[in-house]
Amino acid sequence: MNISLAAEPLFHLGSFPVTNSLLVSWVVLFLLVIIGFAVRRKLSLVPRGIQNVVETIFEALLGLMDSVTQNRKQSIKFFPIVVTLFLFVILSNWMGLLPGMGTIGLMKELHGERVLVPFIRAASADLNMTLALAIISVVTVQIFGIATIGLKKYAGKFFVSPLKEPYFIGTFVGILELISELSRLLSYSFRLFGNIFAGEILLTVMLFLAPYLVPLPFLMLEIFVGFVQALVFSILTLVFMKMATVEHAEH
Amino acid sequence: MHELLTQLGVDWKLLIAQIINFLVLLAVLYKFLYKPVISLMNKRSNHIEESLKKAEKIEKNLQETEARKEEILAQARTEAQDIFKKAKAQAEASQKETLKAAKEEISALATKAQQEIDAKKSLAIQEAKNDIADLVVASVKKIVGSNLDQKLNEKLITGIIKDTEKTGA
Repeated sequence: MNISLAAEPLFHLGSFPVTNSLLVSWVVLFLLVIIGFAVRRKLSLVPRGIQNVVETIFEALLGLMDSVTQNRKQSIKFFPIVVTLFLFVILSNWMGLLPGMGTIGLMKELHGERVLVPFIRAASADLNMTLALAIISVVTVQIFGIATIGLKKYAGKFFVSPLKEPYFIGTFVGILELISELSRLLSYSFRLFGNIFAGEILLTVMLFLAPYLVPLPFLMLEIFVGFVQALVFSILTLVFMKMATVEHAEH
Repeated sequence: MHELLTQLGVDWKLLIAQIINFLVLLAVLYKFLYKPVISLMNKRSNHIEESLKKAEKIEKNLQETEARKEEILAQARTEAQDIFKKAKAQAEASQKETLKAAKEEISALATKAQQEIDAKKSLAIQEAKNDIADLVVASVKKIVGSNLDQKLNEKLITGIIKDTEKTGA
């Protein structure tokens, strides 16, 4: 049994390490793109088949987003980033639950030890992936904030002159806001990584301890955790986007 | 810091690969899924809204037309009634007039006839009188056998006639 905090490279393309997590995220990308094309091809004003499913899901998601933004136009504006985050994260989480996770792989020499490198590792059980999404999320929030209320007003949320009321308190709060903005990088990435990685370890350990039936409830739990984490990631992004686009109340 | 990140498996190459991965996914899904599906949903809801509005308009138009039809019908009915009343009154008036004229004519005719009858009667009586006088003279001549004085004769006859007239009357 090998537990590695970092995703293990399966092979190298030149100096570029192709890890099992990266491989899985490519598979997720591929699947979603195929679904996208399939829906696009069959799109018609009178919905049929898969289009119905997609529209129902979109409608439900838009409704959920409306409850946060209180504005259908803004919901549609935020829709692509939020929904892509959700779909990518949930599939990345669930991919790690497929049979073969942590068991089927290549025997490789790593750090002087001969260990099993599994083919499947949840894409979100790799800090590179979660950090990448966190960076995208935080950057998108800043972009939407600046685009909606203007650079000057948006920067005014963080950089407050100490000469104006409430003097240094305002400045200090601004700096705190800036830090909280940056700390989201860590909270986003470690929350998702921690949950999914812990789930993987839990399942692997359970599988080694009791191969039959016992891991089943944990598998169910991990399916739920995967959904909740995807929801948390996307809804938090949505909430922060909404907050960034609201002008600071004048004191 | 670098040591920590390496320990956690953060590799800038992989990080960039994952970022590009996600951006590609976002772009593809935006172009092929979100944009067309949402625009389609908007299009459909607009379409339905328009159709509903149109239906409402048609309904309104129908009601208006119905009301106008009703109005025109009512107007036509009152007009027809007016015309009918007028015609009836006219007919009655003309009937009365005709009747009156006929009556007048009849009474005129009757008067004329009466007058003619009276005239003819008196003429007949006159003639009869003359005839009777002649007859009387002749018969008296025959009876008496001799001619009296013409003057006396006539006087006598007239007296007789007057007597007979009195008794005849």
